[in-house]
Amino acid sequence: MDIIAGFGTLFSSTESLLFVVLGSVLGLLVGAIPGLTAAAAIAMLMPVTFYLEPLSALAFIYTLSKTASFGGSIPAILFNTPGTAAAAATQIEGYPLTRQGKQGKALKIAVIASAIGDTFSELLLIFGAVYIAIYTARIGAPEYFAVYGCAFIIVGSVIGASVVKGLISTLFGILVATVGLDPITALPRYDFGILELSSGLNLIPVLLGIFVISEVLVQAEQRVFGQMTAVAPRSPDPADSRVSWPELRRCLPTIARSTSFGVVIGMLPGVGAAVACFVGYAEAKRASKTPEIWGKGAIEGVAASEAANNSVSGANLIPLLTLGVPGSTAAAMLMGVFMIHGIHIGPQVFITSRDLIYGLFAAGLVSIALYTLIGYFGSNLIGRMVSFVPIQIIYPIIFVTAFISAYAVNSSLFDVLVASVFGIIGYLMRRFDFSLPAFIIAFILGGGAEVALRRTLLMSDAGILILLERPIALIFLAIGLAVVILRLSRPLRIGNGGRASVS
Amino acid sequence: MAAKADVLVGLCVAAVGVAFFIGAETIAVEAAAARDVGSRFVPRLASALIAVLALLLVVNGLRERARGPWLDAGALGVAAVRVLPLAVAALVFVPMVHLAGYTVATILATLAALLLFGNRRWWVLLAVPIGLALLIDHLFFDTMQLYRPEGLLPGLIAG
Repeated sequence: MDIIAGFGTLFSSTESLLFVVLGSVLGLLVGAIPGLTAAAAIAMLMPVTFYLEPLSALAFIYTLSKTASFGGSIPAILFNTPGTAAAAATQIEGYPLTRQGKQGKALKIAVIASAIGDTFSELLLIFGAVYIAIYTARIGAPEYFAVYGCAFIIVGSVIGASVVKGLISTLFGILVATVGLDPITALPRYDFGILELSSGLNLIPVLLGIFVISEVLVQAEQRVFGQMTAVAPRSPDPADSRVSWPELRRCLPTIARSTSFGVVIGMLPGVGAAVACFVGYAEAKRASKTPEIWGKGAIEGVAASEAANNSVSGANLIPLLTLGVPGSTAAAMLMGVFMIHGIHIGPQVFITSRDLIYGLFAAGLVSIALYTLIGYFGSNLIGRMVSFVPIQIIYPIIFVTAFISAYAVNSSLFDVLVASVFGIIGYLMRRFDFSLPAFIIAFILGGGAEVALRRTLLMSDAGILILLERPIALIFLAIGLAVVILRLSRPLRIGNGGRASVS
Repeated sequence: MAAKADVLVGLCVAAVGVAFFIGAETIAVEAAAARDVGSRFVPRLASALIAVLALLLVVNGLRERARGPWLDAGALGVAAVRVLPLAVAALVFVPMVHLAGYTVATILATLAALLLFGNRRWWVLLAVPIGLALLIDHLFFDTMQLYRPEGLLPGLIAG
């Protein structure tokens, strides 16, 4: 069993284990601090991964993003302020439970549902991805272009309040990716005679600008600090601080249903945990026999949204590892870490870097165990700690740390300037509801998509119509089309600032 | 419902698309660019689509008789006071490093950011910038052995 060998690889490296623990704890804290996104934290920490072994670097980033997803539920339940967009649905039922003094119960069902959803998703990744990879290893340029096209259509049209703005964000990402040398002819494009631009824009400075500096600018504008001070008193009844077996049994079908939604959503590029939590919540409410108690503190509601958003995490890696297409911002950043360490991502990674990949999967499982333990016994404490974090001091520190993180990539001040410029672009995009995840995923995939498109067009006299002769390409295009139709028939709004709603 | 601001945003984005499309004309084309799928192909395609979609945003706004103000004066004022100085601080950081060196630029940028985030306690304004600059210095320049940009001023002062 490859996963057992993966545990062997992980446990044979003290450094890797240390970074799994560090990533898990840091992820919980990052997730629990409202406004501080996992994407921003990962972008700032990415330069550190240059100096680590590949497994330590990947495990650190992966576990951080995984646990941040659960961490976001803590302030959502305790303070009615979701730590991440993915926990926005958790607060609907979680906070009323806290107001009834049942925060212990809400936090415990959140961690149980998260762990179940996440474990199922991780197992699907471990045992399913390799079989998909065997199949995807055989596909050619037209199919790859269809995959990229499908990803662009989905990220462009699903995320954000406006389909048009989402598509503009995607196209802008593709356009920015063309800066530098043409991947086929090596001719310079949009370099304006600047030497540093001739090799293209580095991923990390762009990430830092788009996710970190723009976030600091938004926080400076909103200045919503210090809203997490009122913690409701805990009920004296011990039954209100634990989840009983009948309660858990009642939640299990909801958790199972939400997990399946989360896994499917996780496999779609760009849709992500923020959508999954609302879909899981809305479907659980629709299926409930007692819808009248929803909105007043139904623990099934907490279980539904948490199972859904955490089950996205493992499934997100399936398109990344089998097709080289990141399913989310966190997966895109993980792809960046693979690139930093010279590992070419795609189906062949299961052959070329088998030990590393299964070591990473093992790190994911260890991380689930860690956040389950810490979350079950320490969520309340983490929540109270986070309420004392001086946000107005943290953001200036993040602002300046982003500069040194950008500089650390190549010891280049030009990269710092790139981060600053993209920080301002990112702020304007957030301000006018353009989609940052769509931009960044398109920026990362732009080069590969361009090569696939141009090769496809050169392959056949039929031009782009060659896609109609390829069944796999047609399947991917059909998926993209179906998602767009669903999107247009069910209006969905996900704000970049973390507020989300389904109408 | 489209907002009036979207009409203006659409016009700006369309201008960006057109600028990139025109800029694509300056890209050199290889001699044997088959079926027009050379170096200019994707930049032209993406920028043209951006311009078209942006115009769609404008048309949508005009057709739906978009509501709200063209420009929200209140929000613009807040952005001018809170965001613009921070954006300027981000842009002048690199020139400041060239002038005064990384450590001094870090201290000044942290101080500016702390003030813009509403911090007024003197010990915070003193301890955080100096502490952060020393930490960055130790972690990135001493431990990770990155090249430390010294700037012009320290050299001039030292004679």
